[in-house]
Amino acid sequence: MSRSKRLYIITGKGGVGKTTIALALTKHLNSKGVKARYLNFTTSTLVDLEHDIQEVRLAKSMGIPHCALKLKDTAVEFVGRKLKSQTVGSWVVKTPFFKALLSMIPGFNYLLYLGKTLDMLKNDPELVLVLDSPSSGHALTMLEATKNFGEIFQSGILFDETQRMIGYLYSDGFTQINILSLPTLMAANEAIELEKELANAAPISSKVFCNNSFKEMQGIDELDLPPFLEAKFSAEKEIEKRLGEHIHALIKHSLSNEDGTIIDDLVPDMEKLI
Amino acid sequence: MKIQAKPFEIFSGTGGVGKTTLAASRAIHLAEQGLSVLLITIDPAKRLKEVLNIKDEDAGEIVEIAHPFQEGEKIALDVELMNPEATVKRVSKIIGSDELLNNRIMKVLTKPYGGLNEILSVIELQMNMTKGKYDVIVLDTPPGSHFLDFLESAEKIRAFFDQSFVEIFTSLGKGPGAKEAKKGARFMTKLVSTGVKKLLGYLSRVTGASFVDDFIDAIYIIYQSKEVFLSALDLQKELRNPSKSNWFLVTSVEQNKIKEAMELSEGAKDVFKDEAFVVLNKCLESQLQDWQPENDLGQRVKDSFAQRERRHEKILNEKFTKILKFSEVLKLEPLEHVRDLKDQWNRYD
Repeated sequence: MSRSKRLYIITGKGGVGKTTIALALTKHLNSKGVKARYLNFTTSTLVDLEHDIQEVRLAKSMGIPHCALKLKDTAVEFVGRKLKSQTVGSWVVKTPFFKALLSMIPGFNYLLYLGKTLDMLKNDPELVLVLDSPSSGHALTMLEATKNFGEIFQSGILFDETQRMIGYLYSDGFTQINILSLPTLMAANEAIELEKELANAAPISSKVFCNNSFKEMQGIDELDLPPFLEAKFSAEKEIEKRLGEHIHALIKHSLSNEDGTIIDDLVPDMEKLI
Repeated sequence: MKIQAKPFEIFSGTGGVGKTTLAASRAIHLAEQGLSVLLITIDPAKRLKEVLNIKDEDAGEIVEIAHPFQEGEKIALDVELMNPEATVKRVSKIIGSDELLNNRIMKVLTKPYGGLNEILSVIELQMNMTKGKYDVIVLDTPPGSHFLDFLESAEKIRAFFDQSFVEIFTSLGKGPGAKEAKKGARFMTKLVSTGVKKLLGYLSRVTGASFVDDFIDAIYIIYQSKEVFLSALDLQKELRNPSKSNWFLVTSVEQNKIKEAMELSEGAKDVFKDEAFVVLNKCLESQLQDWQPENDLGQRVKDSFAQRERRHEKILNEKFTKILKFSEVLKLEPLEHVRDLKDQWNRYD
């Protein structure tokens, strides 16, 4: 059994199954006795949502340990801690100037989120976090944030903070990025493109997985396939032929149509992602 | 059901449902009928580039596609991959100043995932609209909540110029803010300025003083280009006028994301009214009907596919009346996908 990393970043283009896989991986780690939690950077705005987001409702209903960070709370906590007063922190975050700063500077929100994430990991050496990350390009912005902000701020508390973050994130065996793809040429190309860009942005190991694979379903090769499934199959074979060397492993297609049962269905497959 | 072409046709939806290929297929379909069409993607993932084989260095420029599928065919259209930096260059030209381009922080703000992305998209659209060159502008929007950012950006521009920064400029003695503040009560101005000084003091401690200065400069430069940004408000009206715009909410049976799609339509209530179209993409209905599985696993596969499709339809039917069903395209190459989808639009002419 392989030893787990501290932070798993699950990313990939929209609709590849990031939430499902992140929840299944968390559940799998829990079943091995690892203290893992599903993590979501819920909002990109300072507005408080009235209800839990879909992802959190799902985690709750399945009893999977989770943590959904909210931008406003994270910002108030961060600024407050740095200025040694939560009251001042909350006042600063409410000003139009700070709101503009947060919504206009790419990755500023991610910088705060990552800072909080690393604090959680530092405070609890047993903890492992599985991040249901923003999709492709935004994941890149998030990982570039630490580097970019070092350049932007040049001095001050935030600058020191970014340097500290880089130290953690890049340290050996700390972080792993799992990029999800689907068995279509476009999705596979995007995943491989992202892997290259991530490698340029940060020295963190990343792997590409193909989710929703029909080939990986047990017993499917004995089936007399109708034309549409035959086509899906040959597409998968063609992708494997062209891009196989870039794809680390396949994750099977689940026949269930309920989020909860899909996750349970995929849990045994998750060892590959560790 | 007949769909009449409108000056704006906008595709939105959660990620991975096929917005980009559908938008491209719609644009080519309309171009094939002899309409003058511009296809714009403001999705920073830029899948359109792969579909229509456009080079990275062409981003931000309008590219003429003379024949999307093969030489000799008579389907020409214009395509643009939105690039914030290119839009800023155009704005600079209009206001006749390079300041926008030279500020250090502006360069950060106009990166592809910078906070000005959606706002600049609206300006880019507005500029293309005023050209009057196109019968139809087909728009492929960013996924999920970023689409809502796009919808709200005109409103954000207004709010931004209304109050946010005037007080800071006032306190620092910069142009427009200082002027406007003189009209108001002097006592209030003083109070605000004290607050601003405190805020800037706190911020300098967190972010470093040079950053705060640069950021204020960047905002001030934007403020000076106020007129260009505010002109984008006109577009807002056009987009919400049912005789000017067709809205398509795209969903896919392939994903368990119907709840998210419904949430998105709730968040954008003013555009997803009765007139809006919903596209249920990647349907397998007819293929499934023709399949008689020989064993238990086959039957389970068939049931699973059929069930998810029925469920999507049921949920959509409860809220929408104009539902368009598009069949899953079983071709490997992206361009072949677009060609197949283009022909599926024939059913709605």
